[in-house]
Amino acid sequence: MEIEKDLYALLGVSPDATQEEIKRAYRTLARQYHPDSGTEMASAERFQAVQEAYRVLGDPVRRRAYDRRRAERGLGIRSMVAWDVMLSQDELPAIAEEQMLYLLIDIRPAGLARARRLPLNLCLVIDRSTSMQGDRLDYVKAAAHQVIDDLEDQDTLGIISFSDRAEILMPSQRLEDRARAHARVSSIWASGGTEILQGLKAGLEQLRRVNREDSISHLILLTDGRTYGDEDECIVEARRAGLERIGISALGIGEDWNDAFLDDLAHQAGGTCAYISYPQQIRDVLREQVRGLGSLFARNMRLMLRFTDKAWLETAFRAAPYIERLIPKEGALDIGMLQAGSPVRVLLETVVAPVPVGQHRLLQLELTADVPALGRQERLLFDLDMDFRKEPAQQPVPAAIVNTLGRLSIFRMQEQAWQALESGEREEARRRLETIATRLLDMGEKELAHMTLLEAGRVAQGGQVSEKGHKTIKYGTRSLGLKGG
Amino acid sequence: MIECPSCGKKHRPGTLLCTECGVYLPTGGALRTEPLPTDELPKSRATSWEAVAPEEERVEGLRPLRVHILDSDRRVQLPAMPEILLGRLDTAHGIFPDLDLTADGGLEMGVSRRHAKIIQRGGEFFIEDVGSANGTFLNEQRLTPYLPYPLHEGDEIQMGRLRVRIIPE
Repeated sequence: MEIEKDLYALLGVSPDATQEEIKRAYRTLARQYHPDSGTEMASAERFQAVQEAYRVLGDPVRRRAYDRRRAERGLGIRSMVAWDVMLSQDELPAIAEEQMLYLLIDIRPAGLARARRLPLNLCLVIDRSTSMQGDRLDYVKAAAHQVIDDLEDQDTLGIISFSDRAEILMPSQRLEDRARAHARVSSIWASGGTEILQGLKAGLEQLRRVNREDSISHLILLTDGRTYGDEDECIVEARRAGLERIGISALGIGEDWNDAFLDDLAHQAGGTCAYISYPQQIRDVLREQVRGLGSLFARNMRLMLRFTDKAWLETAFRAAPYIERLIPKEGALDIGMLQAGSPVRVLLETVVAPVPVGQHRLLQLELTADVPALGRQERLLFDLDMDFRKEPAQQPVPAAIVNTLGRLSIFRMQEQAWQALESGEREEARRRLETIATRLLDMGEKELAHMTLLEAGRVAQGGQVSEKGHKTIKYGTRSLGLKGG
Repeated sequence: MIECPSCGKKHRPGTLLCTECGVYLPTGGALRTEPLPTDELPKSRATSWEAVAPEEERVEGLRPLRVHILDSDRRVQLPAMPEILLGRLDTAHGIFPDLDLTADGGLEMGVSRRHAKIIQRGGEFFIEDVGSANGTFLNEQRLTPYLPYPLHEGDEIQMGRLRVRIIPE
């Protein structure tokens, strides 16, 4: 039974049609399409298709099975999330050694589903340490003013500023008095150190006060510095927030913040971390973040990987909307949010054990996603049963997989470059950086290529990679995931 | 196990991209264009050294150009675009030439992945080498890279060893 085919559409009935309606539609169409009908609609092919559709939908048992399998693939009428799973090969050779198989998973809002914008419950947590003084704080304030203007009446906003301690500038509330909110933002001034835990705790507390099932709660941290001694506690807080369906995103300004820490912090709570090299960019980046939250479709997406003993995971990456290495925890990958208009793409590199000729189950994938607009969880299933043959038909690898691997390979090379640098293999690091630069040039990424070459030069001359270079290359190659398929 | 032809690292069968050097393995990995022996290529240089002054951009009125790839006896109509890239497809590196010469023996003939561009400006055609490994020749004269040269009907372009003729309208 072809579950990809929409049999309802073939019969021209809606998926919730009664058996009687289905029967009627079938009779009408069968008469029209019958090769002997003499009408211009006559077609043996169409006639057969309609018969096949009726064979399934006309039988309540078969129809239920069909509906269930469609729903598992995200093709059902009430599905909000759909996915495609693509394989590098549809058949594999039965050989006596391990071999590689790639799975590309595209997750997107289902065809008919439309995202209703849910109320946002937003909290801005603003670093006001001494280093923020001047341009940085000015642009952060301008960005916050913009957010106040952009938010809708149904949204709630809280504003926290922090240095060594946190101040609640505005408790989370509806924006009934925007002038007051603007005045609060204007009152921020820079002084003191950076203790992110203080700001984080205060912000989460505000979000919890007004957190509702049908709203999107999210904390956005804007900082330019390192926090000392409280990083582990921050991660614990973030993990807890994630479990309570409160998201966290971080915007790192300038070069002095700890990217590994902020990446982890955001990841724990299903959010993202962005690098801002120039204060002028703050407003656009923040605005983009808030807009993205408004078009949030699903969150807390988890991909369960149930491998049989015939296959296992080598590596996993998110390839879009941005690139990130995914580490399985208890057999599942956390893949965060799905926003309307930007599908999530995951690439799995798997190893297949030597197996004899025949069909073998390699794994089952299960995707769960919270769809706040529905107040429920969506669940999709995919079983991978692979045919192993003596001489399988060699199909060309789907272009999407090749392209994705190409983009990922640049990101992986920079990971390898930093690793090489850390373990003192300078020549290796330089070589990798130069290769990355060449590849970036090929892709037309001139600025990023230039920056990478500069850093390769520094390494060649015995110097260190600049923090700016490190962050530009890391976050630049990561966002290659955004550009095209 | 299969071996990366570029860096020698061993991989499991079915591996698509070498994790060491990023080479795409199914095409055999020889994605780099090898320089050809110089005595196999024409020696004289094109006399026109002057870059052609670009006239005003005219998007409308672009004409398609027809070319005949002599070595594979393939005739192609090029799309009517202001710029057409000639080279070899390399999906892993995001290089998508408008005229892909892979099937015409491009790699063996020394065609680079990004080899040359045909530019259409003010109703005229130009050819420009874009830094190819083995050079571009117009009627047996070697072009200076990154300079556009006027292109006429019946002209013969040679990329590496691969010859392409412009078919008269």
